[in-house]
Amino acid sequence: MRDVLDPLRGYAGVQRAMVFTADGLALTSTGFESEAQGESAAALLSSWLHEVSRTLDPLAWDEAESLRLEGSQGTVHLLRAAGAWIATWSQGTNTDPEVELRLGATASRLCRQLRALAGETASEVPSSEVLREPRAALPQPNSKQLSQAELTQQTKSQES
Amino acid sequence: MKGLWGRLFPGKGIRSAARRVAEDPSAENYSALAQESIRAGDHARVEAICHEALELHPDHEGLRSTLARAVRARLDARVRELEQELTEAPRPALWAALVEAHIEAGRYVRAEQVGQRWSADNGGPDATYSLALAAGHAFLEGGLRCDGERAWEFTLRACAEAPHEERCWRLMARLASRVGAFADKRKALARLLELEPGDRDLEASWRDASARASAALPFSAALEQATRGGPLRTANETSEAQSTPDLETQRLQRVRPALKGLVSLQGVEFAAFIQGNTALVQGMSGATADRRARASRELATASRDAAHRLGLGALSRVTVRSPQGVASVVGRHKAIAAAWCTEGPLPAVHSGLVQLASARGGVA
Repeated sequence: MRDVLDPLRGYAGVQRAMVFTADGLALTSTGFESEAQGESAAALLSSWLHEVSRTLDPLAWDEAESLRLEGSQGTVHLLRAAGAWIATWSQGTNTDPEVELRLGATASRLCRQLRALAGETASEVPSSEVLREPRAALPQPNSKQLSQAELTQQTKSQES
Repeated sequence: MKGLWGRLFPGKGIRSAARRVAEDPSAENYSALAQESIRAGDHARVEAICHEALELHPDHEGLRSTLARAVRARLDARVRELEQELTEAPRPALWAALVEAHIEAGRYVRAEQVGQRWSADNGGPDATYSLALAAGHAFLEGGLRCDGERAWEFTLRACAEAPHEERCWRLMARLASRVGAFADKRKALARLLELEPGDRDLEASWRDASARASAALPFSAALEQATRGGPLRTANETSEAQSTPDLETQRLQRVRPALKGLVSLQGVEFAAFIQGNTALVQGMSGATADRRARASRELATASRDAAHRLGLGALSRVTVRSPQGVASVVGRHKAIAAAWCTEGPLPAVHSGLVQLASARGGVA
């Protein structure tokens, strides 16, 4: 999964990147000095996301989709994808919009990989089920939920 | 007579200069109007013109010097008038006014001389306080040890002669604070709290002084230590202390127009400026605005901690994008500026937030 993050590194000042789950589990990371450092960063980001979510709840806002935290010495970009979070660290104040575009591309790559992984691990699952975007970072082969496209298709076939 | 005539019937020069200022409020036009008023002998009008002009052109040296000359002329006239009245019928109020006029003009030695004359004229505690005030201003302005010693001596005498006079203890606290004699400052503040129980500012100062008092030297030793390398470094503390709240007030007065400017931008539905426990909001009202302001503060607080823990340094900005919109919060020192938008924050919103958080106002 690490190859998903490789194109991010070194682009527009990005020094480190990571994929982690909402509960603070680091799935993969690149650019960190040690694994422990990556895990610690994932836990801190998860804690911050939890606080942001708690702040937005009284306003009836849904969970954040992307965040940018700028400090005097660095910037962290976060993007939610496939139930996980992709994070990048840049030096200084990085307001380059290309970073967000790259994050979006990385999110798409991650989704593709997860779909492929789900296809490999769950051969019994119908192909239509495998093709839809996973709802979590880890595949859910026994999920019975249908995508919006499938629902629309079913409705049309019933009508005809 | 000429001045009175000029005031009652302003000349053609003043009228045309005033018209030019109304058409174009440039520094040069204001200077011309001030010069016309000086020729008419109306010093109060000159001061008003200069104050108004300096609000628009705060860095204009010509206007500053004109204002200084006008103030000096007014104070000289006041001193002459008071001296005249004192020779005719000396009264404590006249002595006090004369000392204050000299202090306002920055003539501390003359103020002290007047205080000595008043003291010799059975001035009592008020005269002692005027001496302490003159020497205290000389010390706070110049930072010389000899002035400090004299000011402390006079202040102690004034406090002993009039223990119920709040102003004596305030001066004592100020002098002690200037040299770092926090035990003496605490003593003065304790007395002030007896005279004014429940004053929150005094209580806060007293707590601060108490926390520092244990390692503090008495005034004379602290003064010697503070002036060992020459006059005290922060020689203009008095004027700074007086001007800083004014500047802060002026800056905060520009917050509301900046908030309105932010909300007028496309996509911005709410903007807030938060400092301490005060939140100024624009775009929403009532409980909705309260919730948004509270959320802005909590977002900034949580993000500030996170930025420090993640090694990002001091928080500059946090942007949160949700299906319902985008929240952008900028933190600067003690102030927070927030904008809640229905779509992605534009560069104009970002620069406006930065200016707002710096309490400078205006949206780029």
